Amino acid sequence: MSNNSISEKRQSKRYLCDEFFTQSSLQTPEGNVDLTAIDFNKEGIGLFSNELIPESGNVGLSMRYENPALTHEFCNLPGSIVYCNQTEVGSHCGIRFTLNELSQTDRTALEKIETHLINCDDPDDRYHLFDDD
Amino acid sequence: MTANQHNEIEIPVNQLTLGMHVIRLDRPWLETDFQLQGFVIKDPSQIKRLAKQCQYVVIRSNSKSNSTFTQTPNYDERRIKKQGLFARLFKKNKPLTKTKSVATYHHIANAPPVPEKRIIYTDQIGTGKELPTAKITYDEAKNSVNHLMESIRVGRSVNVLESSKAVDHIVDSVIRNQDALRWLTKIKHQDAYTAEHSINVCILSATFARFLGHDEGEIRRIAISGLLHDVGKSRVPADILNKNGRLTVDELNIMKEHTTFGKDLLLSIGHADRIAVDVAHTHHERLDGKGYPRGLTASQIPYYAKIIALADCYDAITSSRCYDGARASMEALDIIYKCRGVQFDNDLAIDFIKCIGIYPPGAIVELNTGQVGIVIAANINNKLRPKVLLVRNKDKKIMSEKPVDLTNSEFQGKIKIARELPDDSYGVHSRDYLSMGAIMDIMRNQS
Repeated sequence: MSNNSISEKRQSKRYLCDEFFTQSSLQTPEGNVDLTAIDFNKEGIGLFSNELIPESGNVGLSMRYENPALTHEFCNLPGSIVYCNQTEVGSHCGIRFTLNELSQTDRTALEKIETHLINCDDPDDRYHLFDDD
Repeated sequence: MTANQHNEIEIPVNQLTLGMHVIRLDRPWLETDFQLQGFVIKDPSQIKRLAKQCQYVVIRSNSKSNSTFTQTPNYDERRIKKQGLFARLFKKNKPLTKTKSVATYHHIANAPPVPEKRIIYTDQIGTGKELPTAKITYDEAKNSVNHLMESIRVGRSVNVLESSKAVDHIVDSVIRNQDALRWLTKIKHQDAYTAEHSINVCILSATFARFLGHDEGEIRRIAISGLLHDVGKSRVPADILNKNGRLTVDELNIMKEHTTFGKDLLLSIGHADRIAVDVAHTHHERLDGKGYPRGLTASQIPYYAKIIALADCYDAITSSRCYDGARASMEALDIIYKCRGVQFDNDLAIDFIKCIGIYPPGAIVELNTGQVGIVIAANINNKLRPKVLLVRNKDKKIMSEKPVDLTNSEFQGKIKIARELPDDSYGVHSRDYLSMGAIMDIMRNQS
C-alpha cells in the first residue's frame, strides 16, 4: 500500500457552476475552443469541451455571467491551464486565473460570483435532486 | 404520452405496409437515395425503394398495424433467452438473404419504463457476500474481453460464447446486488484500460438499467451493448490506443473511427442485434449535433446509446489513463450534470446521477474531522451518510483501519463527509484495500 502523503493539487474548493455561466470560450495558441463551465471559485474554473484543449500554457477565457443580481462579461481573462484530462468523451481542464493581471472590475465580479455560488451551495444535495425522495 | 407510445419496432422491409412511420434504416440515411430522414409510407413504390436498399427498418410503434411485431416469440428470441444475445454470433458467415432477415424483432424502447411498469429491484444478497463471486465474474469478463479484442486484432475467428457467459454473470450479479460489481469498477489499472473500460461500462449500464426499472431481458440487452460499445477499438492501431501521452488531432481523429469500425465489425461477424450495432456506432453522438461520427441530433440518437454514453463518460472521466490521472466520481457527475441537455439526455443524466449517488462505494472521502476513508456501503435511508472505512487520521497519517457508520447517532450532527477526493489522494487507493481483503472482511461481517 502506498503511504506517501501526496495531497490534492487544488488549493481551494470549487463550486458547481449555475446556469448563469454562458458563452464560455478559451483562446489558446492553437485557436478558440468552446467549453462548458463546470465548477468555479474566484481563483480558477473547471471547464469541459468536446474539442482538444492544450495540456498547459497561458490562455484567455471569455465568458458571460448573467443573473438577476449580476451581469458581467469577461473578455480574454488571463489564466493558465493547470491540468487537462483528455478522453474520448471530451477534455476536462482546470484554469487558474492570473490574479495579478486582472482588472479590479473583473476581480470584483469573480468574488461576487463566488459569493453567490457559496450561498447556493448545498453540500448535502449538490445537484438538488433528492428533495423529493 | 407513455413509453409504449414512444416505442420503436424493428421489422423486415418485406413486412412494411402503407401508413407505417419509418424512422430509421439498417444503414445511414446518407447512404440511400431518400431525401428525408424519416417518413410515413404513402405509396407502395416507397416500400420497393426501401427493399432495394435495406433489409429492415425501425418504425414508430404507434404507426399503423405494427402490433403483430411487438411480442411474437421467434426462434431467435427463444435462443437468445437460452444463450444470451451473443447467440447470434454463431450465425457467422451465414449469408444474409432478403427472404429471411436476421433482424431481431424485440421492442426497441426509447424511454425508461413508465412508473406503473417500472420494476423495483431489491438486493437479494448483501454486498459482502456477493463480492467474492463478483470478483470472479469481473476477472472472467476481463479475460474474455481481452480474448475477444485480441482475436479481432489478429484476425482469428471470433468466439463470443465466453463473453456471452460473462455478460450473463454480470447481469445476474447486478440483479442480486447492485453494489458489489460497481465496487470493482473503482479498481482500475492503467495498462488494462480498454478491457476494464468495456466491462465497467457494461456493469454501470446494467446497474443503471436496473435503477430505471427495466426488465431483466432489457438489462441484458443494455449490458451487452455496453460490453461491445468500444469493440471497434480493436481496429485502432495499438500505438495510438496505448499511446503514453496525449493524442494529437490526427491521432484523435483515428481514434474516433472506432465507432464506425465497431459498427462494421459487428455487422461483418454476423452480429445481427441492432441495438449493439447501433450503440457501437452512435455512443459518441451528442444531443446538440456536435458528436461523432455522424453529428446526429437528439431525436436521431437511439435511447440505448444515450444510456451507454452516460456510463462511458462516467467511467472515462474517473479512469486513470496512461497519459493522465483519474478524477473523482463527483467531478464526473459534475460534468454529466452540466452537460445534460447538450451532450447527454437531460432526464437520463439526472437519473444516472441519482443511480450513482453522491458517495458511491469505493469513493475516497475526507470527513469534516480531517480523517480520510473509503466508502464501503451506502445507507439506503441516508445517501449522504454511508459506511466508511477510516484509513488516515486527521493529520493524514496512516491509522488502524476503522469502519464507521455515519448514520450512528453518536456521529449525527458532528461527523460528516466534507468532500470526495480522487483515488490515490493521501496515498489511499481503494484497490489496495480490496486486494488486501480488508473491505471484503468488513462487508462480509456486516452482511
